[in-house]
Formats: sequence, structure tokens, C-alpha cells
Amino acid sequence: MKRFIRLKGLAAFVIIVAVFGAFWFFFADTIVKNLIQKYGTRAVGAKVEVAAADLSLFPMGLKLDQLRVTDPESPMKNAVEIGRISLGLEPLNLLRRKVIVKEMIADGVQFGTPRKTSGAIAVKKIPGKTAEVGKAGKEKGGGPLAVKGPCGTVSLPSLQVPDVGKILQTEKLQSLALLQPLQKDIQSEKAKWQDALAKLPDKKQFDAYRAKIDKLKSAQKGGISGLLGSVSEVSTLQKDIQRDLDKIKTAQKDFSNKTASLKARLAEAKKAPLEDVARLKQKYSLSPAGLQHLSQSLLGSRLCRLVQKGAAWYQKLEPMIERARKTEKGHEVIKPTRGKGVDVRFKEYEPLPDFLIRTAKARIMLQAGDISGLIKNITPDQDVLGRPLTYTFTGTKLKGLQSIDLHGALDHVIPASAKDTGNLTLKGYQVKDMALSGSEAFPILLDSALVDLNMDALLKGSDINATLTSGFDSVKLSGGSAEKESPIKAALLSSLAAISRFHVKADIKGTLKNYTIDLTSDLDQAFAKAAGRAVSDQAVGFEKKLKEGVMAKVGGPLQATGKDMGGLNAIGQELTGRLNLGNGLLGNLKDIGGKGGLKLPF
Amino acid sequence: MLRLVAKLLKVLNSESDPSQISLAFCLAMVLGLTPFYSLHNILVLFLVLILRANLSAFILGWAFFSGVAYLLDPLFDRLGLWILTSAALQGLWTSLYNTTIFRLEKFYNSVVMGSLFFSIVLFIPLYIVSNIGIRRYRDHVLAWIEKTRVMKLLKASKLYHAYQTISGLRGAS
Repeated sequence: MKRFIRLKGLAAFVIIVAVFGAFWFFFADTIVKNLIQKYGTRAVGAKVEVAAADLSLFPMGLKLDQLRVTDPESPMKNAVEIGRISLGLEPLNLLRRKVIVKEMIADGVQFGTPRKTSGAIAVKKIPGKTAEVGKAGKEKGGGPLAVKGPCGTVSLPSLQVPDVGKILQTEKLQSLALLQPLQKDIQSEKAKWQDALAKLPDKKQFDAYRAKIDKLKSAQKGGISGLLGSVSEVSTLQKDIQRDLDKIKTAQKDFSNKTASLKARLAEAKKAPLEDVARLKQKYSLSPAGLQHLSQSLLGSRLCRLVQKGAAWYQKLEPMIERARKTEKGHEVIKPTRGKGVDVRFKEYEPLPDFLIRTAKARIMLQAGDISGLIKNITPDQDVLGRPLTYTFTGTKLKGLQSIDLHGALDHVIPASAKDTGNLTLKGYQVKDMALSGSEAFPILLDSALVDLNMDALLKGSDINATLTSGFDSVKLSGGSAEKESPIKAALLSSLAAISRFHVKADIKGTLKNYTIDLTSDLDQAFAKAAGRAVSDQAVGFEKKLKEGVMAKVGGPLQATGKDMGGLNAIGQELTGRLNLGNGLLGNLKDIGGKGGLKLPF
Repeated sequence: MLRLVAKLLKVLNSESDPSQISLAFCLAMVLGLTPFYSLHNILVLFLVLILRANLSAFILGWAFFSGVAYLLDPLFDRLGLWILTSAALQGLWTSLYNTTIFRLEKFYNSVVMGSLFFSIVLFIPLYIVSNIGIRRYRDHVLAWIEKTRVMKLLKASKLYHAYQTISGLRGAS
């Protein structure tokens, strides 16, 4: 027996196991803390920190102190900071490699807390790809202010009188684009017809014919012999003149065709300056109709950024409610979060997800007071559990907020028809000093208001459909001094003081990556009423200046083109003149022959 | 590296029973080819220590098979997936999936299953082949090698010097 068994080996095995056990006992807390920080940071894309972790065996559980999740968009802020988290684990399920948290309590949840050091992490740059940063554009040359946002370009109409000189320096005029080639074409056509005219029978030729006719007339008076001789000459002369006239007629027909298209182009070019004026006016001037959508331009980009932030966080957290999976020979295989290979799932007699937090209770600390929350069934395997994640957050009698209620469900029980819903209701929210519009061109500050807000959101697959309605009461708005401002801006700023209540409704539709926000508000009517007259006056003045500016640029080339066209018309007149000459000569020949033909004396 | 090769030569040339060296190689294969943090590796460690397997051979074999595992991982993944999804074995896997001990073993992972299956299938053949190989090496190759010019040159090399150093240390201890 001793030949095969090494009894000292048993002692060595016990020692090795004991060393591993002791290592785990003493370093488990640090290992867990480091694992949470490592994988949390990787998932969020910014530093995730835990001050301390405490893993206990009896009862099995984990406590975390000061969990800080950096906001990746703003690394000097924490997106979430949780004072203390305690998790109660089910030990038997842990042996089956299932992390089942019976109850999780998150105490002291805060959002947007400042950080002492940056929570940014080094990100590998993808060649050829640059980060898109939403920046408010600057107003140039009185043109529209463009705010590049995730919902496309939100343009603010110009509230200043646009500078016509700058506009005409940058804008291409359609009228000039038409005139320059037209002038060239007319000149080349003119040269071509001047050559053609030289080759056609001219006045000199017709004078020669006239001389012959005169000669025939005198021969007619010379008796019978002269008369007989002139009959054949008249016939020959008649044919010659007719042949020349045919040449001129053909040329005239060709000329008419060619010049007709040039004339049409000239007529179009003459209209073009007015069309340019209309186009530029439309682009740069604020029309009364433009005021109808001012609230969309002012408030839309702000709301759009909020939705974008929400969508980005949803996409980050999505793996927590539904993990990537595929099937192999009808079996579901799941890519493990770490390690190699794939995990194949088999039917469980008592199905349980690999990770589940049955109940999570949270106390969220806001400036207004505390909000309590309850989340149930947090798992990436809802299809295994058969129940969706539900959440409820409520708070009443808070400081500056009568009540808040947020509830909904993230239903991924059938992953192919995932449906997430959410409803947020705020009542009696006292707003103070809130920037309603961050636009530099037209900043609006909500000094104070009492807000009721309701938002219903539905996310089906990746299609989002949300409606936000809000009522602002006891409103005090300000937008800075109206002095030294344009009449429109001054009128709009003055109108802010008269607004005591307004409503905003927003419909968000599309997909998470490509959505549109349709925002309407009765603010538009108030703006239109206040600034409508000023807008009309500005538009009239701007149009007048635009006309003068465009004509100053286009007038010269237009006049020159007209002059060239006049030259071409002279060629047409010349052709007509030659045709008349020839026709006159033919008439004279007929006189020699008389009405019935050539008169014979017998 | 030279020291590792020298150690291997030392083990092969030692008076240890070939079956102890072969057993050590086979157990090293299981530990090296399968993911380290697997439940069965506790059993492997236990067997290595309790049975009279040659520990030097085990450590060398473990280092060797761990390197081989990196190359064979894609093969293990496919093999494991094929076994786990094979229709005939569904009943067995389903029952094992519902037991705590096999869940801890993580047999349902394609790489764990593939590598464990591969090493278990090769366990006995490797044992027999290495047993025969070591015996033949000692009976024929070692004596022949000793006489070759190459060996004479080798004896004058750094490798042999390293080998001698280890032998000397062992002898001293």
C-alpha cells in the first residue's frame, strides 16, 4: 500500500487547502472590491469605485460602502453615488453558481455628486472616428443659429437684422449662374450668324438683279425681237432670285429656332434676381410663420439632450436586463461574461437565473428630500425567471415638490417582443432659476414656476414612443435686457414678462438611435402675438435691402446680356430686310410679264 | 529554459519508477489542459499529492500542457459544444445540470467539457505510452546517447553544466 500512497501528501493537501482558505478569508473583501471596480468600470466606461467591501459567510451576504459611478459624459461628477449597499445572498444557490440576492438595500443614493478627481479612463481611439460633441453654433452674418443635436440640426431663426453684404458674399446667386453662360452663348451665336450673313445673298447681289430687270424693261420697248429675247432672260432671272430667297428663308428659319431658346433663357435670367431675393429672404429672415415653432427651437435641443442621456444609460444598463444569447442545435448557449467557451443551458427542474436580485430597496437623497424606491426581479435572464423587472419610486411632501411618482416595467420575458414602459408624474414642482433655453441668441430663464408634469414612455424593441405633457403655472420668465437689441428680440423679451402660464407637449418617436422630438407649446402663440409686427417690418426692410444688393451684383451682367441679345436681333432684322428686297424684285419681274404673264404685241 | 530541460533530463535519468513519472504526466495533462479554476482540479491536486506521482514531472508537465491548452482551446470549445449538444446525451446532461456538484464543476461550459473529455480519453494511452517510452529511453537511448559525439559535445556545453549543477544540488541536499 505504501508503495502507492504518500501519507505526507495528505498533510500537504490539507495545508494547501488551508492556505487557500486563509487567503480567501483574509483577502476576499479586497478581491470582491477590486472585481466590482474592474468590471463596473469596463461596463460604464468611466471609473466605478467602492470604498470598502465586506463579504460575510454567516449569514451569507455582501456589504459595500460608498459606491461611486462616474458620469462618463462629465468625469468630474458621479452619475450615481450610493452610501451603503447590503446584499443578502442565498448560499445554496451560490453553490450552484447562481447569484441569487434575496434582498438588496441601497441607502443614500445620490445623483450628480461632485468628484475630487476625474473619473475618466483612457479609451482606445478608433482610427478615423472622432467623438461627436454637441456644441451650440455661433450666429454668423445674421444667419440661422444651428445647434447640432442628436435629433438633427435644430435651427433658431435669426432675431437680428441680417447683414445683406455678408450674405451676398457667401451666397451663390442663381441669377448670376444663369447669366454668365447665357452671355457667352449669345456672343458665340452672334459671331456664327455674322459669318453666315456674309455668305448669304446681300444687297449688292439684289442690286445686280435690279440692274438686269431694268435692262429687260428697256428691251421690252425695243420691238418684237427684243421682246422674244427677254422672255427667256426673265425666266432665268426669276429662278435665280427665287433660289437666293430660298437660302435666306432657310437661314431665317434656323435663326428663329436658335434665338428662341436664347430668348427664353434671357427671360428666365431676368426673373432670377427676384427669385434670389425670395430665396434669401426665406433663408435669413424670420417670418411670422417662423415664430410658430420658436419653442421647438428653444426647448427642443434641451429636451433632446435629456432623452439622449437617458437612451445612452438605457443602452449601458440593457445587458443587466437582457444578455446576448444565441442557439446551437436548438440549445441556448450564452457567452459568459468572462472566461472562455460558451455555457450551454439545459432544462432546469426549478428554473432560476444565474443572477437575480429578487428585491432591491433604495433610498434616493435629492435636494428636495428622500424618495423611496422598490425594484423587483433584476436579472439578465427574465425568460428563465418568467417575470419582468418592475420599479416604483415615490416621494411626497418634499421640499419644493408636492409629489413624485415613477413606475414602470422592463419586460424582456420574451426577448423577441421586449416591452419597456415608464410613467413619471410630478406634482407641484417649484422651479427656480432654471435655464429654459440655453441658446446664446435667445436665452430664457425661468425665474420661478409651479410645474405639473406627466411623461408616458414605451419602448418596444428599439422603437420609442413617449409623450410628455407639462403645465407651468405662476410663471416668471426673464431673458435679459431688451435695450440695444433688435426690434424682434426686444419684442420677444418684453413679451416674457406677460407670460404667467404655459404648457409644453412633446412627442418623442423613432428608435433609440434615431428619434425625433415634436415639441409644441402655447408659448409660440404668445411670441407670435408679441413679435409678429416687428417681424413683418423687419422682413419688408430686409427684402428691400436684398433687392438692392442683388440688383447691384446682377444689374451689370443683365444689361450686358440684353445688349448682346439686341445685336443678335439686328441679324434677324437684316435677314428680314434681305428677304423683303428679294421679294420686291420678284414683284418687279411679274410687272414685266404683267398680271397674265408676258404681253405679246400680236 | 535550460534549467527546465535539465530538470526533465534529471527526472528521466533518475531512479524513479517510470509509472510514477507517467502518472505525474497524465495528471499534469488534466490540470494543464482544463481551466485551472475547475472543481476536478482539486481532485487532481489531491491525487498528485497522495499518490506517489513524481512531483518534478508533474510541475514540468503542467507547464507544458498549459502552453498546449492555449493552442487547443478552439478545438476544446468545438468538441465540448458537440458533446453538450449531442441528442443522445441530453438526458444525462439535464440530470447533471440539476445537481449542485456538477454545477460547481461547470461541466456545461464548452471548454471545460471539451478539455476534460479530451484529457480523460488520453489519460490511459498517455500513461502507457510514456511508461514504455521512459523504459525504452533508459534501456536503449540513454546508453546509446552517452556514447554519441553529440552527447560528448553536450557534456561540454552550458546545458550539461546546468544539469550537473542541479544534480549536484540534489546530491548535496
